[in-house]
Amino acid sequence: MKHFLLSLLVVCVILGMVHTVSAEFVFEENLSIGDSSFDVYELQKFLNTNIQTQITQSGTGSAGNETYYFGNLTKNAVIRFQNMYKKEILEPVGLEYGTGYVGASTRAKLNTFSQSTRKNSIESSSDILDEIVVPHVLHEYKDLILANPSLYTGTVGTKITLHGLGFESINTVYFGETKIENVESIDGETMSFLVPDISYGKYALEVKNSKGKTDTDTFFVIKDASIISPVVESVSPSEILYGQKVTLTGSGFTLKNNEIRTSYGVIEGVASRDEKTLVFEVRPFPDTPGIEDGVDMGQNVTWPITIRVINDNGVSNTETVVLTY
Amino acid sequence: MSRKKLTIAIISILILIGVWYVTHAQTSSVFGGYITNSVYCTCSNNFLLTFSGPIDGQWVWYPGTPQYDHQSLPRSGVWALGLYDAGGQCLMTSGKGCSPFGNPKGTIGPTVGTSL
Repeated sequence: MKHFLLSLLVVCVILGMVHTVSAEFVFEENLSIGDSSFDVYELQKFLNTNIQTQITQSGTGSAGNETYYFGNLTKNAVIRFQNMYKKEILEPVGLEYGTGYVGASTRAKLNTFSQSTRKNSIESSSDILDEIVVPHVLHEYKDLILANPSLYTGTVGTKITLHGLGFESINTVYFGETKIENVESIDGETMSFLVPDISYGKYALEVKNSKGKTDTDTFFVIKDASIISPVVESVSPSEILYGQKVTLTGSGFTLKNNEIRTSYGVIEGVASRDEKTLVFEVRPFPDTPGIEDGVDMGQNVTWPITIRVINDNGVSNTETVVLTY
Repeated sequence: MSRKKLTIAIISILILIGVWYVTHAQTSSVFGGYITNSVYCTCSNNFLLTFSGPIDGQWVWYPGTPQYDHQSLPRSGVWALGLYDAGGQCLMTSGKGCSPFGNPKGTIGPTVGTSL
């Protein structure tokens, strides 16, 4: 019965029966078609949390594939959202139907989701699972674990929450070598703090208390608010064989030290000559016996590999390349 | 169809859905922790993932199984939390045949979230 209830909870949440917003994100800018910004990305993430307002079911703009660009799909999703909350968004400004323009009344409604339900809200699938698992499996775990941050990029002063286990009432959080001391945790599983005022860039994120210090691959990119995060606009080719080159085309890539984070591994130090393209070879598990470059090995396996670009400008949207072997 | 038969049919369908849901849900259990090792199983075309704490053990994962943010399976070093179903093997090529490798507790399903 317990598993039934837990599974039901997962299904209900995943089916988008609740709207949720990323940690304390506040929509402060008006948004409309043609805009490109981090706010658009947060807007798309929010709209994708409800099946009635999702940007699209699959591909660019779908849940997990949000972008920074406000196009027609985003506009149509905003219209659906505005029509859902007609009395609060449209009627006060004399409108009958949604327009797709995110102005003051729409932002006000969006921000009610981020502020009123934050404490118990579930902002990603990881957190959905946290909510389920923690009560009956993990509560008694005593070691220090840093699971994941609520955000992986943001500006100085952004509030982020670390999820994990074994946090003590007072902890130290490390941004690279920079220490944030006396970070409090009430429940032992979360702690929140503001991004410190240090140089922009990517930092390893770790936690230390009397139980030890974590040693994970967790990171955070402190970005300049005026700089747009990297955007992957296309992946070419979209379907590949083992060992083939893939070209990512987009914007916000840096001349050097781009990190391509895929679902099979992390490729560091990738250069971009023009800051618009990145090239890499897809080689998961290269030590596997019998594996050959550019050959369909006839195993009838089709594996969508996720790709993100991380650099000093921030974290990109997610794109996919399909590997067949 | 009479009203009585229709009612019985609807109730039967609801019961069947309920039974399927409960039995289906009961096969799923929770796993979670950091992936410390990820190995491609050459015969079964899946991955054997080894997790450390809070729930130690090995699970298999099939490429293409949907996952939620941040879709990082089967990369080693990520935190993952989700549900698995009992059963599943990692088979490695051995001579002209295949032999089991590792000791997986089950197969990771589509209800899984990971760190980035």
